[in-house]
Amino acid sequence: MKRTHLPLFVFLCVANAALHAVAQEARPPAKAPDFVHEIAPILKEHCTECHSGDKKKGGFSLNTHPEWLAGSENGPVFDVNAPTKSKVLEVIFSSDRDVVMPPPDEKRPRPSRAQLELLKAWVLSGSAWEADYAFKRPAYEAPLKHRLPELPPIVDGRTHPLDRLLEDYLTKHKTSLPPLIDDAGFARRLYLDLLGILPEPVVFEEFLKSNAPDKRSKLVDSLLQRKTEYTEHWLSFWNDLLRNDYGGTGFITGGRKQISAWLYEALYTNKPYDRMVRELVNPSPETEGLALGITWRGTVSASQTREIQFAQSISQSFLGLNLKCASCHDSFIDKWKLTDAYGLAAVYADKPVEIARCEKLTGKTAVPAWPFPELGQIDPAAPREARLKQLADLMTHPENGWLARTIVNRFWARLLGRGLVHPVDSMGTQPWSEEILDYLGFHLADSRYDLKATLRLITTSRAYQTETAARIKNDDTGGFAFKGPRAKRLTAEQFLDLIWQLTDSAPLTQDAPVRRGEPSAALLSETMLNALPVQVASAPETQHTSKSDSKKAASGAKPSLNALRKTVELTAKPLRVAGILRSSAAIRILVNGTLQQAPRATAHGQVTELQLTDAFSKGDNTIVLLQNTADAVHSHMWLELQLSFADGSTQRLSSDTSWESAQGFPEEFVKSGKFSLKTPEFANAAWTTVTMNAEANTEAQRQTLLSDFVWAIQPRLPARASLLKSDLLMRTLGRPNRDQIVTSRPNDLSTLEALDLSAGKRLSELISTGAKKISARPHLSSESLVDWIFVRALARPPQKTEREAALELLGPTPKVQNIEDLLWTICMLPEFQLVR
Amino acid sequence: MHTLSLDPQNTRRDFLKKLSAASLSALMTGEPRAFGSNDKVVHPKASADSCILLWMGGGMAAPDNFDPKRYLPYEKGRPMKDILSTFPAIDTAVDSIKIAQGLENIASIMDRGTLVRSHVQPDLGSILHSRHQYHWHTGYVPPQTVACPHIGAWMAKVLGPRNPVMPAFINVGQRIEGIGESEEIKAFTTAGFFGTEYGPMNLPFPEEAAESVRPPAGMEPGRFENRYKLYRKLVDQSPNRDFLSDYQRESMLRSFENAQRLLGSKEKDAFDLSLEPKESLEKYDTGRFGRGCLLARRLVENGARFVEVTTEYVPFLHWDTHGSGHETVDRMHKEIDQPIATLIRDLEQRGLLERTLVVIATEFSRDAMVEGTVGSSAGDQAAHKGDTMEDPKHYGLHRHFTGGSSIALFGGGIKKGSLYGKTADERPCLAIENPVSVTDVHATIFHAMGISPKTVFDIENRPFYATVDGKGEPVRALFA
Repeated sequence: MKRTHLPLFVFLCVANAALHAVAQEARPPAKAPDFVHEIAPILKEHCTECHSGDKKKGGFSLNTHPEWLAGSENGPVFDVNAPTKSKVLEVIFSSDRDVVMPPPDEKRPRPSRAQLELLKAWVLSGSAWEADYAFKRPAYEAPLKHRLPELPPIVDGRTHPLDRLLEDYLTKHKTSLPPLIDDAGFARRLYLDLLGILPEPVVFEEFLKSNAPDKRSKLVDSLLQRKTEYTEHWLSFWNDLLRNDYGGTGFITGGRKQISAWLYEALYTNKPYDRMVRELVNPSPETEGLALGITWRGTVSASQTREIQFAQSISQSFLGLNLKCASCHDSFIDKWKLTDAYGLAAVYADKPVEIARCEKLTGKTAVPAWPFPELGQIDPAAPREARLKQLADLMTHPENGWLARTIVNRFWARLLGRGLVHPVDSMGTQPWSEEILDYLGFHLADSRYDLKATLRLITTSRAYQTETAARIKNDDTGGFAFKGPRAKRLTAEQFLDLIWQLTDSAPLTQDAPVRRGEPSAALLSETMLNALPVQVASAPETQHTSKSDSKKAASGAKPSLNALRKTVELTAKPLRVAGILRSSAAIRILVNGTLQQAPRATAHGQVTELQLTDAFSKGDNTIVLLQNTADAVHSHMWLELQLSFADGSTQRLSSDTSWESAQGFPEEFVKSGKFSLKTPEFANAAWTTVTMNAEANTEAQRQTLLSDFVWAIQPRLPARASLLKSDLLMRTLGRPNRDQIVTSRPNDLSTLEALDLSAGKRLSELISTGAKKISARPHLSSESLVDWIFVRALARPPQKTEREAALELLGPTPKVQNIEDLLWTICMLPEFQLVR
Repeated sequence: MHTLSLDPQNTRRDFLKKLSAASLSALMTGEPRAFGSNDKVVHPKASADSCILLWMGGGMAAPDNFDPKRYLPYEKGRPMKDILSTFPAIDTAVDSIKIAQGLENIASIMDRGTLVRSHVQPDLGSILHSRHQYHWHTGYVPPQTVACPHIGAWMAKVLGPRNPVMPAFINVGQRIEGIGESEEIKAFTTAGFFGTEYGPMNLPFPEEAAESVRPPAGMEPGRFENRYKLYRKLVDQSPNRDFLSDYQRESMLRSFENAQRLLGSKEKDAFDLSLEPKESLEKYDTGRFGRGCLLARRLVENGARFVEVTTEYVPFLHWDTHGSGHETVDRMHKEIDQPIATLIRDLEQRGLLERTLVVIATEFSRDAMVEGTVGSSAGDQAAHKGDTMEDPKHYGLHRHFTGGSSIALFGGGIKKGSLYGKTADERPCLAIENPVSVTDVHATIFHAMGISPKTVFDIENRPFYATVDGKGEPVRALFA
């Protein structure tokens, strides 16, 4: 460890002063020590290594006078009113090794007696400070507000604002960018970055042929308009950032909530980012998943209560701030304090929160606050709803540049392989180019928080469009300098998607509770809705709606069920049954006596999409709907199913007045699997024809339902991995367990991953399924197969030697296993696995 | 009295001193970070090179296994509160140690290790297997703000593989897909923030382990090699020559090489139980766990660093007895007794026991009456809540008990034929002598393996220690 060398003259001063101090004993000296010449050197020698600049051990810094006066986490170190009682004197003179300051260290001498006495004299005399004296230049302070950097002059005709800023950076750093990547490489990179898929052959060919000077920008625009693919690619990024998943810790016990449906729609409609943040910070039932966090069973540490999780999540996701340190104690590494974390927690908490420091309660109650009072502050007296609204307002305050810079930095990191600020969750750190970061942040806010505008701005720049910069080592020793984009590894989801896409073998399943894409306009115009809103004919038991009754129902009295039924005869087993169910009360659907998965209990008035393909068979099929009468009186329901058969014909099953209804079935009826259509109390119930609810049968309602119906029956899209629960292969390839917010995926492929990719069952099955698909294509010669797979997977034709090597393996008439091997080989190539 | 110092621990203060001096590159490359007043973490001299953790997932009741109390047989109408143990005690190779009937084989090898009867767990309010298992496997009580590494991952990270061909961390017998609480199990079956390079190689079915290091099913000999040959050729002939220097690409190729090396190595035979002589296989073959013990032995013989073999945690199965406890534990005895004893003897015969630490452990004990520990707010999770036994299925220890459990340690520098700690003879059977926390058990295991419990890495600019706050203390009395 380096020791501070004390200039000789300082030493002399100290020695003189020491004599002086000793002579005076504890009485205040006649003349106070001179701060700059006598005190600062002692502090520099013994104290400031840990207590100045960005070092604030014990939450204490004496870098500047205000900081000295502010004291430590445990209170003031200097007592202005009674200097003799100052804590600082207690600790510098302590004989307890655990208490004494500076901490005992064999390698460096203790302050001399004379130095200590001099310090004492200084403290007792009032600890005078030289105006504005600071031991270290303040560490980088990230600005809060927006700033629009002035654009440097255009060089070489490069008008793109990011390139003008970058050119200036490159000149200053005496470096240059690699050459532009070729069109094919650009197309592959852009497709993978914006949509997470490989370029389609037709578009790809056209793009390569085009001579239009703006063809790259045009491609950017056209890809950004592909809403479904865009959404389903970026969903993984947002799920990681907002720790949203379709299964995992907390879901079993209801201690966690998805925001999937909201998130999908937000991405699909390109919801402005400030609105997204607003809706997540001040949540509604469909967005509260992030704020709720995960409720663990049993007791949790004070740093994992719901409120503190809220503080951590909000600050990490949206501000790139790590309040995890500050959730237990004042941070040692940045300026965040325990009170910052608890202030944010208290905004969300529904009752007063007592601050706990390292698991010990302090007796202090947290004051609702957010960490940037420059823009305004939360009213601690306001009720919770108002506080959350205030927080959302502050977070999305027009002058809050921090919010915008955090997300544009994440995008930059995704697209160029490393953030302007690195790591992406240390937004207090100095970016390698403040100009570019500030410009991007300003641009996002100026574009009304249009996230696609940021993606467009970045991907149309030369900064994005050059060859990747090679890295020699896995670190940035000696400081980072931008030398061009870095290659990114395919995410687990991209890897699966690519194999499915290459081989056209994606499954038709999904775990995400989202409706993909939108209803087809063509189908909408040619489809009619047959369903009518129907309800139980008469309901003598439930017609009186006295308050006591509804109270009884609400307080958990066993609800009784209304049943609606219909039997249809089918001449064949349908290939697919899809449609919608809308009910004004909780409802369950049984086909031939079997309870169907969705919907167990739909919320009031919500439409549920039904996919019931396996439930129906040839012959008579009885569909029974059990509606919860405790939820509503005179509840009605709509059902419209389309059954498609192998011969191409379709048939509808719709709610109408041919249905029958009966009432008063106990809840136990459907539980424990005892229900059967033949159960006497069901079969022999008083069945009457249903009636139509004319009031509910509005044109507007019918239009909405038609759209939902079309959505449900249109051909299903092939799966994207982002919509599936994580599996072993995805885990192996780095998809995180979303118990925590994880904002970067692993960049390196590990040996265990390689082992799994070489010998693992899951990949082997994927490859095998894919190879079968490929081999089933007509008239595929070995040569054309090799060319096709190279162009498709790597966006370039094979070189002669590559073609020969591949052909050697394939043979003249490739068998499925040869195709498997070629497919595996191509998919394992770094060129395939890296987005370069 | 402390005034200025943030934390009374000098160690912590000193660590922070080092932290501040750390360079960004050290943060990124994840080197072991300096700690304490010296520049380097001082690792103890290892007394073991390999570690086998035999995990009794689901809560093995100490009184029915390694810490027998007063025994009473089943009798209809007998008060539940009279039941302490449902198995009588038997003698072992060590005079001072008696264990439960049914563990005769283990009894015969007790002179090879040390039995700890005073292991204690925190009461987490709701006694949830997965949370305690997370705690036991990572040293940290969930939830945590970062993904914590499994102790096997610590060994992989700090010590690396013993044999470069062999994965350092192998996890045998636990399915992590398709069973209850699988997400919770996944949460700790991981290298966490260390990254997948240090994560477990999962072998849920020991008899199928060979498949993980064998070309995919259906590949005839030669084909696998040809496939890799083409791969190497295409890599070499790639037109992007300059791109070859890229770190990421290089590391990707290296990983494939490593994988290929294992797949073509003689060590891969260690995974193949069909190569074990029949009579030896039979000694282990009591079920998946037994075969797992055999696999562990074969892996350690071939240079594995850390192997966990579990009886498998599946909610309400195996050791997770919420009803019919006696009957289930009787079955579990039959499953574990002979393989564990055979494993110890085999390691000894091969001269490996001296340098292999074998640990038998579980997330907590069980009791017929107490849920959690005395005064716990945990809800009672026994299926039968009556005061008396009315059916044989009521006979057993059906509540989770955190006040005192047993662990057994063999080999790897551990004292032979020794007993440590004690629980009370009457309910509540709390650890009343030398209680040992999870943190200290980990410190002991790490110590034996030559890892300082104060070893620390940075994650998100925060220190993360091998044992909580670096405060784990090895129990020195356990070492020979």
